[in-house]
Amino acid sequence: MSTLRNAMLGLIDDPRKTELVRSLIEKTRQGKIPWIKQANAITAALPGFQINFVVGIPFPLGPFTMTWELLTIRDKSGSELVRVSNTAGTFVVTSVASSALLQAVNELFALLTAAAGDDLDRAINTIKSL
Amino acid sequence: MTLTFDQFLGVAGLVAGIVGVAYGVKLDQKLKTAQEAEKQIEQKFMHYMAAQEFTALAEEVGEIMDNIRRRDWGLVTGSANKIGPSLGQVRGGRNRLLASLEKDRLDAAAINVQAFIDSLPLAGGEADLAEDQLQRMLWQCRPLVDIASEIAGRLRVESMEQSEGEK
Repeated sequence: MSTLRNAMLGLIDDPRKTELVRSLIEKTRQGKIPWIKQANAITAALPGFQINFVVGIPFPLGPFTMTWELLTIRDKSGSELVRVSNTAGTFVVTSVASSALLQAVNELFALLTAAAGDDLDRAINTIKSL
Repeated sequence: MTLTFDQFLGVAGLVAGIVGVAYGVKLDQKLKTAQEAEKQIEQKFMHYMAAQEFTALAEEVGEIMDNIRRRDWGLVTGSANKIGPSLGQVRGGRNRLLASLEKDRLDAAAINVQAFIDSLPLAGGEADLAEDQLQRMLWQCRPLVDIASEIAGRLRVESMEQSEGEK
């Protein structure tokens, strides 16, 4: 009963959300998802889905580390399938993600930022070889 | 060939009918055009109003940032408490005009602003705030200024593009 109540309140996450993010990690590793990197976001449009990672601006007086703030996965009608916030204490309605889901999202973000580094290396090598 | 009076009346009735139908079709087209024009004006006005609201939101947060820099905590606290409702109104009222990424960036910015409001000093604690705490407050406010300004700019341009299309 308490599990049902928690689920209704959005206090726990459906394990299928974690599975969905895990499958995104796998497909990203295989290079099958065309991610687009922008200044404040990393997005991907798949057939029937839109994935948005909102990227945080690094704190100017802190270490230069990229962090994500929000991940959403929507279907083609705009309904949210997954919504995970990286910051506690929200007044916007977001569910408190389970640690498994947060871990999966962190892993996906790390994969994407590493890929951004690879893109830069490729660009440097291309320019050098001109 | 001569027409009887009845035949003449029949032909005249037919012609009058055709003219009536043609006039009706023309009126219907005019009505549709007028309705489309009205719809376009409504849309243009909606975009314009939404742009104004997002601009006002960006300016409100900008003022808070100015007051943080001046360490005017009375004004900061007063304005900060109004930002949540203002943001909620704009976010909810203009939801249909926003792209999915804009909605997400607004929500992420709202989370940052909430963290900023939570970090505001209690009365009497202002003197203890270090410089990096002020910098962190400014940093938490900036994303909302950025995204609200971007959305306002897009909506304003779209409302102008619509008016160009009407010409």
